[in-house]
Amino acid sequence: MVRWFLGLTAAVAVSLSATAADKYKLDGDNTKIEFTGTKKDGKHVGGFHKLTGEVTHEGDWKIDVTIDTNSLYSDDEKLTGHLKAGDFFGVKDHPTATFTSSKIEKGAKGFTVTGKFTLCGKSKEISFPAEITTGDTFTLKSEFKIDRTDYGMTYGAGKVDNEVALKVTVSAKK
Amino acid sequence: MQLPPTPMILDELRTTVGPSFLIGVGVLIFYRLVLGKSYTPLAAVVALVLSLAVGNHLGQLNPAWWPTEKRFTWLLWLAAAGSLAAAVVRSLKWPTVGHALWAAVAAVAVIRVVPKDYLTTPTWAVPAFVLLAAAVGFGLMRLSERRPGPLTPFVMAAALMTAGAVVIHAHSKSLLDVATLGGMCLFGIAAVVLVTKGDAGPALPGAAFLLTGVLLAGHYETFSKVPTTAFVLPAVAPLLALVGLIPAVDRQQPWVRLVIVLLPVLAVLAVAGGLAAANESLAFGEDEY
Repeated sequence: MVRWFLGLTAAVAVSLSATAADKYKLDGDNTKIEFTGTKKDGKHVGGFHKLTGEVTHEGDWKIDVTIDTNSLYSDDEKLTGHLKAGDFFGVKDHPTATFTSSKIEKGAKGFTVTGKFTLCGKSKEISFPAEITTGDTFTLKSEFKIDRTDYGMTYGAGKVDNEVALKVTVSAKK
Repeated sequence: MQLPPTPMILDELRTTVGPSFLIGVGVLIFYRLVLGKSYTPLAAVVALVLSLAVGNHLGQLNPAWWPTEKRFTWLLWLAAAGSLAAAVVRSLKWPTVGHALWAAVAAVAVIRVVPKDYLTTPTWAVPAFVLLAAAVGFGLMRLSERRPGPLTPFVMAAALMTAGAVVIHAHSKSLLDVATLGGMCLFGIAAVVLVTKGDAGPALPGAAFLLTGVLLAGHYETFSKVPTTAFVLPAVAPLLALVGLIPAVDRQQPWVRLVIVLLPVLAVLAVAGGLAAANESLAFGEDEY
């Protein structure tokens, strides 16, 4: 009887600790993903209005984000149409882009986030530096670059730079 | 009329317009001088395939060469394969084998070019795509065989260039490049056969994949205000040229026949280009490249 009671108590404790895991919901209001594309004589900025995802902490920290690529915007309406078309994002064929972290490590100068980034139907493991704080609010700030040709965006080779700068800002409450 | 940015025009001249036209002219003249007039059908196929390959290299359309998930990369290969299949029909006189090869190319086109959304809804999309490509390609090839000369390559070239104008208004530069490669090569071919009166027909069943594929992909991928009609008209316009196969038209004086066959095609193409230009600006939001 005593053994049964102890077992039940342990199960309840484990269950409570799991439900008490840190969980932060991500959306387009608390998470900004912006990009800067460059060319020889200029640059354009843009981003995504809509995304969903969550940051969880159950032993390890994990980040899952799904971006609605149709919510893409840029600093020019016509450019937005071009970016959504097949030359770049091919939004109708690839309506979402996703990121799933596999590892978040703390180093001397901050965190390094590693995970699988899927864009235009192509997946690649990326790592980027980030400033992360936790508590009632999870915040993340990061700036890094990706090579657009890794994701099949070969349009404008030699005219539009392959490297695209990304800026990610998160401020999500529990 | 609004023009694209000057650097874009110069770039197009250097990488697609100029080389494709010169390849069309050069290959046809080379074959005519070295092998004779009877090799014009094969020369037209060689010119189209070479034009697509050189244009892909110069314009860096698909640096990897092997087709990717992007539809235009498949169109380049399908057009080349479709033309080679037509060469088997016309030059090797193996119609059954050639038509079977073309059908196989069409099957690949359905899988790789037709958007998945269109495979089931509307139900007529896939049959319409294949039948239109077959009717335009082999119809014009038949017309070219009966009346060798520049008419049929000119009709296909004009349709491709109009398709390019429509898709550039729909903000698809890669598809414009693909259409231009085929269109300018066929203009070059037409310029030569205007003099030599050769039959360039076998290049057309492959070019028909470029025409229908560019317009279908452009229509699916666009976020512009270009209306659907503007995408449909250039694809069906070459069918009007097939009145030239009607015996009553075929018997007319050459200039009368030319007017009957060509004017309706050009009129429909003009409407398509006008619709695209009236509904969407050419601005890409990119001042220069």
